[in-house]
Amino acid sequence: MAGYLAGRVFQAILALWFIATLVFALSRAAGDPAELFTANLAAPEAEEMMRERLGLDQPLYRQYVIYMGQLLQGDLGTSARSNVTVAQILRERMPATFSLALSAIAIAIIFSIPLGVLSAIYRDSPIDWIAKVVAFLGQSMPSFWLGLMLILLFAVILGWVSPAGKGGISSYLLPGFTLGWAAMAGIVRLMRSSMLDVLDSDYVTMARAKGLPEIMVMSKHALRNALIPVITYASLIFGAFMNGSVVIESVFAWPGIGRVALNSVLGRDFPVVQGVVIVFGAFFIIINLIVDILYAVIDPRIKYSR
Amino acid sequence: MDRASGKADSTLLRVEGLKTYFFQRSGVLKAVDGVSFTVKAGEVVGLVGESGSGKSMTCLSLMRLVPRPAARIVEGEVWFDDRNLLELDESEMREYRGRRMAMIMQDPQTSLNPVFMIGDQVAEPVKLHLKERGRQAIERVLETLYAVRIPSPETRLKQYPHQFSGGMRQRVVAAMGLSTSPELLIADEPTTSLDVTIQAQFLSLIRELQREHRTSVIWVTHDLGIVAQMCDRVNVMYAGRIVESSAVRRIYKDPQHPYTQALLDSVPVIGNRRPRLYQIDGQPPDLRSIPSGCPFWPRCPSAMDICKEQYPPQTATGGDDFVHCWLAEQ
Amino acid sequence: MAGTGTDLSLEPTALTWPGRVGAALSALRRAPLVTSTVLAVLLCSAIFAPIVAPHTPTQIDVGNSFSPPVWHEDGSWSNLLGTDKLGRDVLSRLIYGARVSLTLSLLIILIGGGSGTFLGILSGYLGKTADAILQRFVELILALPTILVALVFVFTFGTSFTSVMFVLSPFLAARFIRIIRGETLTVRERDYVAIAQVIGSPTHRILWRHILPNVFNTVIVLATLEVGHLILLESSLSFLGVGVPPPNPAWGLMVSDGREFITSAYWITLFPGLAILITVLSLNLFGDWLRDTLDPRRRQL
Repeated sequence: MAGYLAGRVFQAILALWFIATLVFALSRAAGDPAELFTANLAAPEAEEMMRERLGLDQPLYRQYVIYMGQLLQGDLGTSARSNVTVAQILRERMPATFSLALSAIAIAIIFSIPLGVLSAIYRDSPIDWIAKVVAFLGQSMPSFWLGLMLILLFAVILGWVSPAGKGGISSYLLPGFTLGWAAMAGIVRLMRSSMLDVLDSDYVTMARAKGLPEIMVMSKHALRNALIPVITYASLIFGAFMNGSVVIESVFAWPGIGRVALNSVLGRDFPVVQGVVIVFGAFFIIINLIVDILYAVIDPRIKYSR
Repeated sequence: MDRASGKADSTLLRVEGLKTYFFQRSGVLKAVDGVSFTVKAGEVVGLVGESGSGKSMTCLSLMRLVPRPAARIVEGEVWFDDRNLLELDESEMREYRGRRMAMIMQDPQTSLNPVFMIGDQVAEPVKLHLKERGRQAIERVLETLYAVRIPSPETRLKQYPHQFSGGMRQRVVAAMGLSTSPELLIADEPTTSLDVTIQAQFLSLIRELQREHRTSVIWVTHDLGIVAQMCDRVNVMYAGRIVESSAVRRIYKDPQHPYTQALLDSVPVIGNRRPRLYQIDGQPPDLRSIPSGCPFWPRCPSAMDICKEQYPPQTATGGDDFVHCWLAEQ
Repeated sequence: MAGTGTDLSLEPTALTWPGRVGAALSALRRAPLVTSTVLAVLLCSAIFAPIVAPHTPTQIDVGNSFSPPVWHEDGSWSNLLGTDKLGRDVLSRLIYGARVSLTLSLLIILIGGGSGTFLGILSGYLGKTADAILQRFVELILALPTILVALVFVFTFGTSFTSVMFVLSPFLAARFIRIIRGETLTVRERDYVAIAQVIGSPTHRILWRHILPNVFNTVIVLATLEVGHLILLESSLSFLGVGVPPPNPAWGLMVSDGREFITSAYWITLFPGLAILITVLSLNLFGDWLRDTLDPRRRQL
């Protein structure tokens, strides 16, 4: 277990370092970094100051060391557009993104796990068909369009919820559902196929042969095994949410990091882009790490193999 | 066990005309096609045949655990003591499963749930059927693990299946079945995936426990060597039917059915210097299109015209023994 | 066992190039009707866009802006699906949009999928250090959030057709490497590869004659399923304004054009979205069918 964990942590650190380096490389590959860091707004003197502050007059490897040093101290720099530090922007916007992702995963799980399980148990029944439709539509529907259509239907035509922005609980419904929708398809598909595999297994027959009631066979013996691949998939879901939040927050004018990311790119505010990417990346990698650990807890075999 | 030890020769299980079919797009597969046999209290009955002859499906049918919705028991009676199991409702049936009849499956790798400690899994039937809880249940589990000779059961209790060797796993599976002292144990080729030495240990263990508790056993195998070691009676299955039933003592000396003869001839015997082992020509029939008449005739060395037309009736051959073959009829 | 030890019939069948192509062609004859029709129509309209489209997709006609689809009272037959805020014909833009989406995805499949297959086979067949390093790298790439990386990339190199192509190719390659490598590992162990090794075939010949034809099914299935995935990704990027730049008629861009007017002119948003949905859905259904037919073992793909 310890060896496995150490390996995963090492991998996570490696991935983080890779992202940071990638950002550094891209910033130096894109012409004059000083322009990037001042968004081309500043007077030549300011640019000169920036050049010095960032150590751009130093050789490249020195710059890299300085950059990594600053990162390790948590210094993500200051926005080129406003005088706010990147760290502060991220701190303000993080909760909105995080709560949206949570509501999305909640919505996705509430719908898709039961749907996947039931469609496996009652194969070829109407519920199985519903699951198939959800699975295929979820995979094929562009989320930005789904969001707009939901706004059109529920906000414009029916007037049940406000079309955009973050407010009370009800404001989470549309963006949460839209963000969760694509994940839903994946979970339903995986839950169904993994449940079918498990239902075919000898240990489920053995559990029945012990005289356990069907509900126990399903909830204890089948479900726990069937959930193992689904939990691995959860890491991919969070990955999808990172991607999705950029899109969804743009559609629903949601004041989260995804929107900051997009606006800073469109507004050519490099320090913010850099900060967002690194923090987002770190977030993503840490979640992957947690999922791996969770996986080892739920499946005892992992600790000893690998 | 107390119930079974009453009369020496009382019948515990009587199967009548059992038919279990698979309904597939390509047609109806008759996995079990009219199987009848009895198991007496304390008797070990072998079920022998090539793979695909319907042995496993017969076992699953007795427990009413055939894979749904693909397969269905379409006909027959399974009398356990004084009740026809096929007429029970699901909750009544559960009182039999794990309590009065237990099962060991072929592959110990897959018949234990990988995510639960083996103590939990052995305790399940104890808690469910004997209503024992806590310390009492653990004591019972330890007792059973001890009975199947698992070393240091106290520590093994808290381990997961992957920490056990194949032979040990199969003992755990046996313990799972035996923990409630069932009257009938259905063992579906439980030693096929074990090494030969481990196999021998397991066989003598089960035989010993069976004698001690006078448990009835249905032992499925394709190995006639195991039958000689384990069984009192043997039923030979071919294409979903029992073609011969005989006391074990007799079958080696005087097989009635050509298929039984062929099976015996393909077993190597030490000291018998036959030039080569006998091979049964051809393949077992496709259970979706069983030939008319006796299903064995295409492979039978002594097939006659009538064999191709009509399935041979049951011919008593002394005692409880019988055979389905036109040769015996004449 | 009566048979000899080299009975190849017990092995999964070794596929050769002619056999491979023949199998694929005969499978196509039984393709599901609806999805293949949809895909054929799409492909044709992409190829023959200048002939099929009633208008030039970029032709601005401000006087005719926000004209509704033909089934509305004030709709006209000239613009079947209406016009956008600059008076451009929605249907024509959709048809040309198919061109943009398909070209882009196919190029990425060619570059990313091709290099991924190549590296996957090498990595799986040769193993050792190169394999280990490549696998760490693949894990790394798969661990990155695609859209975010695309954002940074576009920030540095600007929005363009080639930007999208270059940023999405490595992600695709990584997915191909992972799966094709696994597949190669199993093929490598088969008897016909062992025999080829024993008789001294050079490595490149073994890879070309024995490994590639036997992982080809997986490559095809994977490519089909990934085209849909790529179209979704590309349209998301275009929607965000960091993909294909305007005035190109990319579907994602069209949805984005219409979002301000969603209450008054729903058709600008609705139809390009439907086009994406139908295309990707058909590709997924087709890919699933293809997988079931060619490669039933990989149900999880």
